[in-house]
Amino acid sequence: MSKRLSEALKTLMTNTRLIVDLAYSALIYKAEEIIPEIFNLEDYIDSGFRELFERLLEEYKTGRISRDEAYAYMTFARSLEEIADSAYILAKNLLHGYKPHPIIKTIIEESETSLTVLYVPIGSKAVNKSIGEIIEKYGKGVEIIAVKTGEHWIYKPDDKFTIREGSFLIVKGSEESLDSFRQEIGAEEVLEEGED
Amino acid sequence: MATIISSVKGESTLDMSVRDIIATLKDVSELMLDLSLSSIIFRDKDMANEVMKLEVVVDRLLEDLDIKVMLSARSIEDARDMLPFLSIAEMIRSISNSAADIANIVFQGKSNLKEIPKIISEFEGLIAVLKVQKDSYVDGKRLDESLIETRTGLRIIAIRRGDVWIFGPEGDEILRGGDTIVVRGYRKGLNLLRKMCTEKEVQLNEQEA
Repeated sequence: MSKRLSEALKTLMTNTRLIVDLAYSALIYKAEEIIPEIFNLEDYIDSGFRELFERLLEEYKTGRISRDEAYAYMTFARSLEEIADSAYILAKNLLHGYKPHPIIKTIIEESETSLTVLYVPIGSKAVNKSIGEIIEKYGKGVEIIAVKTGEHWIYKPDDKFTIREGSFLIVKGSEESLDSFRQEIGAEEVLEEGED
Repeated sequence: MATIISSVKGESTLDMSVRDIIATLKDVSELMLDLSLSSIIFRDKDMANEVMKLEVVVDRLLEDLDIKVMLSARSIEDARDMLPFLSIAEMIRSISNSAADIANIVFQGKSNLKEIPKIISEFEGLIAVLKVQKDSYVDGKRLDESLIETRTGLRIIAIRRGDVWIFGPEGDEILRGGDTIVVRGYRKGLNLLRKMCTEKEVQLNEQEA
């Protein structure tokens, strides 16, 4: 199998996990801000999936992979793409004025892999540190899904990405590890109430 | 979570609240996805089978959820309030179905998998298998006392004890020498976990190289 095909499969896996995390995030924090990102990501996943599909056909045609192998890849990729689709539908259903529902917030915060949105104030230990550094020191077991500095969200920031004061972080992990991470870096939990 | 799943496997879950049903569904669907990917990495039919069993659990929970949601809506406003719950349920249904499809690949002949296991295990979310040695630091400890998750950043998604699998173990599960554990999470935590599973004395505050 070609490197490009395996890279395409990995990208699909990463983005599928990400879009599900974002869908859950939209349920607890500023849906109107996160939904457009979900739409964009779904577009991107769709075109990646089409490309992967074409590449599979190509490799099968040229005899680089067998029919059974192609079928296994296809099943795998299609399953991931269907998950992404369902995250997109969830986002679409939230489009019309969804406000974070207290029960849904509790569900997401109390589940085994919880999500939370943190604000990094002046004086936080995370300021001007790289993500790799703060995870190593303060947050083993948490995963930073997205960062917003200024206007824009950046998804799946890499280890070298530097956190600035005033940033928002979407963080995933167990409830205890998220709590300890928040306290260790001195960040504040963003409690968003429905504004009416 | 293991106890919730086993109780769900038996009778109806209609006495659970909507909140508890969705929380359970979310956890189970995530476990299913992890297990389905692990079943491919390790070409393991037992794990793949568990995903199939969990799919039945998810279907039952989803059905009960539908009934509860229908019963709770007394007005258009009520019904509208319930929409996000149904949307989450739909996403979970899709994750569960997809995980079962992925696990099903394992049954279609191991030779078909070729490079897929390698691709998944290279994927940034690490999944690994470790053996717990007798008299090691974690031998005889409850999962929550072992501090595995907080110190290494790795979560145990399954334990194999003899011929028996424990999937999605809870904090009060006790690890024993001879157990095989499947973990997922922070790659850099693996060295420390390896020590915890093999050596008696482990310094938990050490910085991993």
